[in-house]
Amino acid sequence: MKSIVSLEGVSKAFGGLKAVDDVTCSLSEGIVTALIGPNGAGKSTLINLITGVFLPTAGLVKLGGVDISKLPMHARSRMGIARTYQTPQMIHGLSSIENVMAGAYRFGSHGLLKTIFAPWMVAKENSEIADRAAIALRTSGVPEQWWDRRATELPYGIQRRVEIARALAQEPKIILLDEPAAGLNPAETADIGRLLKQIARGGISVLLVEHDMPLVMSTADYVVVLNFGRTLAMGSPTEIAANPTVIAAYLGADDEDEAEAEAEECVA
Amino acid sequence: MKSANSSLRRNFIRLGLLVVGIAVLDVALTSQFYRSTLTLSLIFAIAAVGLTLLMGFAGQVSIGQGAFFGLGAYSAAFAIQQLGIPPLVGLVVAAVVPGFFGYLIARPILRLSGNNLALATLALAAVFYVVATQWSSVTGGIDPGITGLPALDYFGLSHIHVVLWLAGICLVICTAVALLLIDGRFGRALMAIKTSEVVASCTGVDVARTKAIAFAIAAAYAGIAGALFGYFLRAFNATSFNVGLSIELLMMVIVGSLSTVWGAIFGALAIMVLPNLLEGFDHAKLLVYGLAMVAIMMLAPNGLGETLAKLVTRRRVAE
Amino acid sequence: MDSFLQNLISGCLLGCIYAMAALGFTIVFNASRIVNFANGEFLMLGGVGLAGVVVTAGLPLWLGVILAIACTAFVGVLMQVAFLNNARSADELSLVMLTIGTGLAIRGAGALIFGRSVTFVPDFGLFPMLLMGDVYIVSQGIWIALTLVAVGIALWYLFSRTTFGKAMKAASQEPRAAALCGIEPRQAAAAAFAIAAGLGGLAGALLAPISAAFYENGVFLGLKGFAAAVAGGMGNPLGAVVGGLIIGVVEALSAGYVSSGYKDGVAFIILLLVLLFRPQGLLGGVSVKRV
Repeated sequence: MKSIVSLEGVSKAFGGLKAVDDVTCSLSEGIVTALIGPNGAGKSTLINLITGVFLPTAGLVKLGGVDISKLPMHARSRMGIARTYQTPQMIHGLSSIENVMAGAYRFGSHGLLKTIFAPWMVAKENSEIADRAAIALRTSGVPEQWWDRRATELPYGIQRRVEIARALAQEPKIILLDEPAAGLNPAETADIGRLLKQIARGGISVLLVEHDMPLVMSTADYVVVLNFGRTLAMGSPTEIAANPTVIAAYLGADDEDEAEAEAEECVA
Repeated sequence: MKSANSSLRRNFIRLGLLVVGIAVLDVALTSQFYRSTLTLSLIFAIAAVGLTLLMGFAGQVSIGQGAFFGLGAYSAAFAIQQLGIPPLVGLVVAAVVPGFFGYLIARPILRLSGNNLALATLALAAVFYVVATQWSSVTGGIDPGITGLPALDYFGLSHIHVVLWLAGICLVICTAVALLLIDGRFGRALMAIKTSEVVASCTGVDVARTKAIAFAIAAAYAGIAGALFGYFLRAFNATSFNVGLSIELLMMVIVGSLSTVWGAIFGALAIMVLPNLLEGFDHAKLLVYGLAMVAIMMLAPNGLGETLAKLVTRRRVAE
Repeated sequence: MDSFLQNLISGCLLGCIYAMAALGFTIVFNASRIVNFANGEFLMLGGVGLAGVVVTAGLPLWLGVILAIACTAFVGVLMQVAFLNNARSADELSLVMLTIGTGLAIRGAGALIFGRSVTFVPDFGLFPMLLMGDVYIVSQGIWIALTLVAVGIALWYLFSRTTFGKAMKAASQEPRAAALCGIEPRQAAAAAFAIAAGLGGLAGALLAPISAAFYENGVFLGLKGFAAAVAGGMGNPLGAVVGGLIIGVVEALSAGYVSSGYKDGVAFIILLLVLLFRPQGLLGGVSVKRV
């Protein structure tokens, strides 16, 4: 399997606290990799390190073999990294389809000058981008009746799907999902799981950060367990479920690290 | 998408109505006083449209637009009087100079947000005012200021008619550009930035650059307005560009709406026309201004125009 | 050399006024997280009010000062209780614009009530002018310096020695803890506005004999107060005082050595530079940057 994103000895410290400590792992093409661990284990920090919200204090983040550790967020996004958020971040004032069109930003070419000197381009490009958005919305299963509604007014479950569609519209190499099932009922959760598998089978690498164990176990092809910022175990779902250290870590998960959770909140 | 195109069409119909409205008013208004009020409204509306783009769509406050307005007025006057450039080309100078300056200053200043950005832009307006009053060799200071700008009497029309139509055409063009920008990927990027800079970056938007361009556009619009203001009066001095001007421009956007360009035009019209309708208003102008701003911010923080529009549509739906 | 010293002294005196403006700004910010753009208008109101009461109405000076402080404090409380407390949106930008609107209204009311003329007020007297060689301190200057010292001590006592003051400081950061001490965040904010406005009124009254009272003074005085508070580090009272003195001195020196016309611009350029390059203030340590 081809590795899309690889982390090599990545660490991130906030003050004296190591939120992510010497993590090495690889996220491969065409599969769903789940990242699990107790609260404060460093999961969201890891997403933020891959997307570029934080720069690592040590180690390398590579995309398709290229070191992207120092690149700004928008450059990484244009290279094919897309993400969703713990609480859906719908762009205010835009309809769902326009939200998804915003995801296809990198496929547009018109800027200030073209808008002034070739205004007809705007409508033409808009309809091309809207076509891309429509495909993404269909793939992620947003019913057409919601497309022209303001995204912030949509039901929570639909917002999650719109957000996934927005990520798909970026035509990314990898999608990072931060707890996509939070706030959803079991039926909706199962749907999201199927959707993620389908996306991965289309040749994209999917990273799923999730607390919902049934979803992880049914969806993930590969599981990485973090605890206190370090990788505790890696393997197939069945291996992880049987791993005694993982079980111990989950039972002793009460003393969660609030400082890191707080640092992550600042970002969200 | 279907809806996107229909909103674009609706907006262009409105633009057409705006042109018709200006033409009707130009004929209907017999008093020179009302005609000049209309002209000033059109001029200020240009600056307000630019500020709406920056504040309403990109979510970046500026209480310093008066500086770019003044910069536009001075650079157009300088171009005409010192470089012998014709007034129409002077308008381009008045857009480019503030736009360029705005872009340069935007990078550092837009790292700030909220309170600090408001403070910094206000300080910018204050610095500009001090420089405008003191740098007499270029600006003429407070006395005499800039004098002797040419009368624009093209096609046998009087100065005021020409400026009115010049302002009207500039407003229509600037509004059309703003509408197109909002409708396209640039507009979506701005709204993403307003929602969350992380979200915008993660969809591939270069946030710092996009914000700087928005700031530059707002500065260029203010500059065009400033140049037209100078053309209209034919003589002006630094007192026109004090901090109060920046606050007045901000008021126009707030009175109008933070989320549509049309609100800014409505706001500019309201701010310019209302004082003239109230007899003896001049005494209490500041007080009424202030209280109006307070009332709007307390009751309709998204802008008076928008709140009124919502009320109307809600009623229509209820019926 | 003597002219340098003289500039330094007049800068310090001006700086004391800016310090009081900055203190008001800081107190309000600490209690309610509001950046009060109307703060400068409190100084304007103090000066114009004093001029109105003493010069126009002919009341005794001491009564005028008390009235100026009381009225300004009342306006401050009114602003908080009537406007800011009832705002529908608590987002930063709406509150900023609410204070700008209030500032405009105060300026307009000042112009309407006290007129638009530039008025000079007699100085407070009592102290003689201090002469040291060629350098002198005007009598009013002694009043200003002593007042800042007194105000500084009083505020220090209030905020670090009384429960009320401590609770006020905590109100914006720890609303629940403050409530336990019997202080609601709203009360704390109202008290902060009263103190800030009263202080502004006092500073404006002190300034009126030196530089004339005028209804448009508030804009620049406010901005210089901001500059002082930001230079000293937002929310730090000691920093506000030091920031005020720095702004005053730099302004006086630039008036003396560069150009008196540009002196007003200096404070604003300092404000811009500090905001851009040292947002934690000149005195503040390295603040933890929250991403």
